[in-house]
Amino acid sequence: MEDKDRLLEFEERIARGEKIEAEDWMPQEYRKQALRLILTHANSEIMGALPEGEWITRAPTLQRKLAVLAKVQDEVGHAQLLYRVAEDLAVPLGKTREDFLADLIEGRAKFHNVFSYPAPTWADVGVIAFFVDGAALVTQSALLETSYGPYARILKRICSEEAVHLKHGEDIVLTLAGGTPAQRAMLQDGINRWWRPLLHFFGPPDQDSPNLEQAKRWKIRIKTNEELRQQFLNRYVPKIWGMGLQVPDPHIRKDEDGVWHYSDPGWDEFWQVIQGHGPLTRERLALRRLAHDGGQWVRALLAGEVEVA
Amino acid sequence: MKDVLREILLSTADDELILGHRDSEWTAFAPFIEEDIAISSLAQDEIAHASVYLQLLHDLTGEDPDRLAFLREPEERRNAWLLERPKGDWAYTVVRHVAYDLFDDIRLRHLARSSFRPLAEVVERLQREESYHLAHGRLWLERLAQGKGEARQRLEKALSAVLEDVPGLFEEGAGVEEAVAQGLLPTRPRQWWEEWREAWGGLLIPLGLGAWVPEELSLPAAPGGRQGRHTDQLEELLGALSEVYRSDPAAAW
Repeated sequence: MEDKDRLLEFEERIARGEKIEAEDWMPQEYRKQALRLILTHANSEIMGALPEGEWITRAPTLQRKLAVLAKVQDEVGHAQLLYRVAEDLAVPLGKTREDFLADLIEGRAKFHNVFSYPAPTWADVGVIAFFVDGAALVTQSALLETSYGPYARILKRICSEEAVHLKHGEDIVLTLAGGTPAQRAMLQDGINRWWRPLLHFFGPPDQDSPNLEQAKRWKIRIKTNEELRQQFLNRYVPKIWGMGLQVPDPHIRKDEDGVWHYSDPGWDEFWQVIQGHGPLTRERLALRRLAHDGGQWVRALLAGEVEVA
Repeated sequence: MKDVLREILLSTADDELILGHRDSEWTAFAPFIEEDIAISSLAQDEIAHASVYLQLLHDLTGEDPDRLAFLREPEERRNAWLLERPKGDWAYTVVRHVAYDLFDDIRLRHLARSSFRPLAEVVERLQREESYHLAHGRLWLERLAQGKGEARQRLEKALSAVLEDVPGLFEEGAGVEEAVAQGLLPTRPRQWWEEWREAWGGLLIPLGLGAWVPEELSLPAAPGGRQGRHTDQLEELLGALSEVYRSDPAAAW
């Protein structure tokens, strides 16, 4: 079959709502876009383990310590699932998990902007689990309908675990909000610092998102950046107000049509961050490298297992 | 009786809490993703076990488990030195775990016969989880023993370092005689040594590591962890552990 016919058939399958599987024919561009989306997600899970991971050893109660530990473990587990899906998709490209991790460490691969920011207080653990994971859940839920079958299936599991993380985060946030003045101030400070990165999280205004149109046509992605951002604002602004805290944007408001208006969150910063120049991008990647290099001899030992056994 | 039981519960809880804390330092930093998930599970088990023992203590004395876990000074801690050592490399982590898990397995078998019923009852449940830890450690030890070059060097270094601290596990805290007399502790910890040596040798000798099976228990002359004397490494660990809690111990977190 000519590629043109295959493409036609492929697009008809998508239009009928069929799922594309790893072994199915797909346009190279589809494979590339799906792979980029899944790898960004995988890299974000593993990089996302770092800011919260810093707080496992410092979590202030036994129960919190167990909860943060379990949560970070989940994120690492998500990375494992996602890299496997990515590996299957990357078979024609001959790339494996080792390559993906090397790309990440060398700064050749992207991960979500939010994981380049510092998490200097305990409140950040709550803000990350409640707001950042909340933002992730908005985007990931929207992807449940993605046309790439293997990704859609593991997203189901990921989303259900993220919903548990949200509860954990909400519990930390509500405890601080109902706590001492110092605890409330720490929470407000966390929200202030994370606000702009959270708006950035959904990506630039739609006209500046180069791959969006095709990704939507092929149902790799379902919603636009702005639709997702609106959904997030609609869910989270009332929660912040409900705790008697401030949204750090004097112009935030919802109009009669239900559309949220917000100040320009400074897109230059977003572009800087995703190009590898975030406040802690280098430091976090250095930590990732430290873990990777430190484990090199162990992986080498296992790889040679058959030979020495 | 309470004081004697408190010592038993604290030494067991502290071993688990401190090792769980060290294990948790691997989360996001393990040699590869699958192992990251496994060591995080071990960490959760150990910390959860610590909180079970602290809860027993709470039922006995009314002390708050979090306060016990987060606020005690180093001299009030009862864990053996082996557990407070920094996480080291993967070989050290594996060897320490195996040495400790064997000890803990023996301790649990003895505690299961304690005259203090609540303790004997919880021990049964914990034994099942700990047996999984041993299986995990044994598998890793086998893999490490097959290694050559760097892996072998690391393994030997880890074995030597761990063996220096192993005797400290068998150190006896205050009130041991009384605990044995009352049946709270069916046997003295130093009597567990032979069992440990046999189990340890049973693992190491088939792997060609017989040179690292000690003969005698040589308890250090100076007091160690069970009597509240610790290394700076524990102080450092506690600095992280209690950083947030200490910022306001009266607050809800």
